[in-house]
Amino acid sequence: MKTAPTRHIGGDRSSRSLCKVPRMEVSDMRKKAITVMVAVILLAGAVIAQQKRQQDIDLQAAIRTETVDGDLNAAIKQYGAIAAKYKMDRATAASALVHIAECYQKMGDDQARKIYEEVLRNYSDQKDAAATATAYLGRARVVAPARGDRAVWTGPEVDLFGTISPDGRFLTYIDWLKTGRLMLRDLNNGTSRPLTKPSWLEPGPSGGADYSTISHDGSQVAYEWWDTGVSGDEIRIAPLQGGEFPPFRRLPRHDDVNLMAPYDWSPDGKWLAMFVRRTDLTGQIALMSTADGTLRVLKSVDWRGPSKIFFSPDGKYIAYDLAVDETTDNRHVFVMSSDGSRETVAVAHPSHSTVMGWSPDGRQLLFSSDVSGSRGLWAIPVEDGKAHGSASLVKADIGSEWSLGMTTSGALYVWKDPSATFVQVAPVDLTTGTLLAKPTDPATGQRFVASRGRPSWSPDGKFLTYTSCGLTGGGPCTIFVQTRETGFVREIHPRLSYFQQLRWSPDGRTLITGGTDLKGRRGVYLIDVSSGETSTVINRTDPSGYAEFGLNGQTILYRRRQNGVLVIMERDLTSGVEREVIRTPASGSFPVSVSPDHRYVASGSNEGPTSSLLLVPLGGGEPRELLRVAQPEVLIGSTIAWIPDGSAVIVGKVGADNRNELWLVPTQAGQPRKLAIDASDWNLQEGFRLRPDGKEIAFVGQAGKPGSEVWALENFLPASSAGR
Amino acid sequence: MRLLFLSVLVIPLGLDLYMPVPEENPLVAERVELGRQLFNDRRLSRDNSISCASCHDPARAFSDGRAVPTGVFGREGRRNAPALINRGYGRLFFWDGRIQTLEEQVLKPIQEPTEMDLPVDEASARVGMAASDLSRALASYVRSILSGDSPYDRFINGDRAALSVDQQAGLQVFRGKGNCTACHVGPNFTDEKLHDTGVAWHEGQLGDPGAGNGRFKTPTLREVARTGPYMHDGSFNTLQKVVDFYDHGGNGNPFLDPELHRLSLTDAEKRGLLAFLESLSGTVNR
Repeated sequence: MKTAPTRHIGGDRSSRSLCKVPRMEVSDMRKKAITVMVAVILLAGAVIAQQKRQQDIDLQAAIRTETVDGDLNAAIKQYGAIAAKYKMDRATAASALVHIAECYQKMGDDQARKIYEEVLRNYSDQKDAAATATAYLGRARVVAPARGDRAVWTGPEVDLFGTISPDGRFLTYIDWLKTGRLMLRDLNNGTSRPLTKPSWLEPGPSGGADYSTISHDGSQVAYEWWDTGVSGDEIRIAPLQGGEFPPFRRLPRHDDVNLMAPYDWSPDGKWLAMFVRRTDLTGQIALMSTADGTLRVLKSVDWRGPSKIFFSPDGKYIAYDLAVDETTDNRHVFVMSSDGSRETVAVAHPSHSTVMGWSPDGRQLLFSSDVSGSRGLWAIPVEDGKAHGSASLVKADIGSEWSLGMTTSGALYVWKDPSATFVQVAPVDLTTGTLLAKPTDPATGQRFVASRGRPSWSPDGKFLTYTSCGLTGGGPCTIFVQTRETGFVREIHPRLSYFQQLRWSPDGRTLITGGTDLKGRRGVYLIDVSSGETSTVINRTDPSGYAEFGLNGQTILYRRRQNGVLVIMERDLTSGVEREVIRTPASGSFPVSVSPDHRYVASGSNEGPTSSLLLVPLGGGEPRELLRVAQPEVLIGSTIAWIPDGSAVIVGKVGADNRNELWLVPTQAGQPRKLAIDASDWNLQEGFRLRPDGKEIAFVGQAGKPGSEVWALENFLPASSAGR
Repeated sequence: MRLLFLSVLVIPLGLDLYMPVPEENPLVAERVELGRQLFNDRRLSRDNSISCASCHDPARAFSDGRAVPTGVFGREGRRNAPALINRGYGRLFFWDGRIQTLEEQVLKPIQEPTEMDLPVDEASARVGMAASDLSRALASYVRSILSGDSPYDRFINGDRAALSVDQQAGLQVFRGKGNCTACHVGPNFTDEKLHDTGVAWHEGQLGDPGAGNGRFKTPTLREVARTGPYMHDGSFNTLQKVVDFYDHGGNGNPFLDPELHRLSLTDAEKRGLLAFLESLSGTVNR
């Protein structure tokens, strides 16, 4: 990370003290000016001291009124006067507000909650006041207990890209595990049927759907569709009723885009609220006509775009959230007139706030926020497209910032990932294929930083890196570097929005990764281990990733997608000359993994019904298949770990019984064998790495069941805003 | 073409429908028209010789074709007069980005000694309105100056014949090897941020510091083919020179923006890039 250059004011500071005039000739006028200046400063200091004394007097008087006289109403007035009179002193103003709230608490008046919310909203920098407010609000001032909340679907199939139907019965989702198709889940009977075919996971010409949304009358679904090898996206609309693969209607393709996400239908069914990302990485909030696909661009935004967009029930407004700036994932919530005429800020906490939906009567805008220390569901009244009053916490600790939509009855459906990941390290015996001791967490004693993963060892085995990408997992990401001998951990904050696996250079000074920079550009980046300084090796808009150093650190190998085909490339860092190492079918997420002697690359391929592990000689020659498995088994492509002598690799696999397994696959002679290590609670997607001497293995454990959940949250709206 | 909310403006293809307009100065047709008159009113200069339009000529996409403008009494300005188009979408104003609202910006040139050199209260008195009204009217008019519906806009909205082969090739350079979209991005081809490209540095010495260390705001590229000379000081009189400058990686200095590096563009790539830049000239509503 760059640090600002140190600046020194010329000369010794003591010589610049106003009490010591430099020994030089000065004019009488200058002497008088200096004298006046000194007098002014002394006077100002006296004034400030006097003001502080008066503040204390005023505050003590109010406290006496509250606690001795017991006159709470009078005390509230006194505290209110203090907050107004000393509003420039934020600590005093915040303290006065807390006193007001405490008075209301004693009176049993719900006004206390509003005051505490105001403290959090406007004085979150005042730690004592904010802590008091947080403590109060965290004691669940909810409208109703959680008995209405229920998990309606759990497991590895659950995905976050779809929406709920207005009656709460159906949910769209993508079957990432098996077919890649857009599916419709019947939450009443637990069955699913496909809406699209074929997909990128299946043989033949393929494409795929990602985002989808169900119309407000529950009759149609609109979804984004991309075709392999064809630029741009199109939106398709299909009826929701009927059997598998309902006939669809295409809206005209837009080929200057690399993402078109339909988030919501207008209530009258005529428009789709979209997020569009252009090929130049400009993001746009737009409305698309469902009749002819005409795009009305309302506003250009950050490339990350909103997490969701929701039409108000009367269709006059849309609500969305946007990142505040490129270096954080703090988000504010906005309301815009659907004709683009006006935008207002609904929520501007210094926190990660995401829009969740509207109450059925359109009078409340729901959003999730972590401003109170945990992720809660908040509601803010809205009138004529503007926030009208303060937000109130309607449900604490919902554990989700991702809405799947509201039903007409006022139930909010959310996606949750209740599991947490954490890096573990254990000694291993590769001969027996067992762990020699119980795993330990290298982050023990370190402050909690949400889920951590992607471990990577330095070439000498003395350091271990792992990453955390924030509470949402979407970045920005922090790299932790642990000195194994002492346990000391330091943090690196690369100037990247997101990145995947990290790999060390042979000299141990640099990390390489495939990722996304702060402007949304995907590429391959180098990170200085000491300073965190980030530099670009390859910056292109086509997907790149899974980079690794090659021979003696003079080359790199990385993966890119070209016209629907995954290609492993080798690039000379000095000359920039590149060559293609191998092409594979464009599916799956296999990395490149360089052998210890830098003679081979192990990689893989997921071709739909089967997945395979390949060995590619870097010096030329035919690739050799080491292992192939057929569904329901599947190779997990996130990590391929070489053993130190290069005679085998370790790869993860999901077995026929849906349990994680580790397999040792010889690269020269011998049969693959399953290791005895119990990897059932490992998160194989987050990777595992052998220490270079093969004596320890770092992996990612998972707390909680694998997979995610869909929850229905109910009974949180005021009766006046609740649905039918 | 699309209609804006009050039918005051026609938003051309390629621009956002939403334009941030302060609540205290809503866009009203009468105020826009008043602003247009004031924009052309020479009484707003000390010697009654120049108006806003003198340096922001509607016929030149609201630029003036000079390296630096000439103000009252023939005084020469310090920085190039930027093209006043699409500024209703702006977030920073002036080359150094020191002002954040149009309402504040429009009064500054009136007061600037090398431009119109007239105190605001005197300007108000001359035109017979309060300073706040003067500000609101001028800002409203500037908001109404829009450029869009260019061949580029038509191309990315589906008209594949709108750009020539050369221009399409240039678009690829613009977005790829040229790295132009690192700063010239979005519907207005500007990130509205401050960057040091080295233009203000000469042999290791900093001239105009701009916003500090030679940083200046990214200007729009709309209408760029007809709004030269270029850069904050107008030191580049052709787009070819601008392209060559960036191909060279800018002008090295301790604070050079990290996005700048040698591009090694071929002659064909430069030709395509120049052809593409010409496609950003569209319709200027004024």
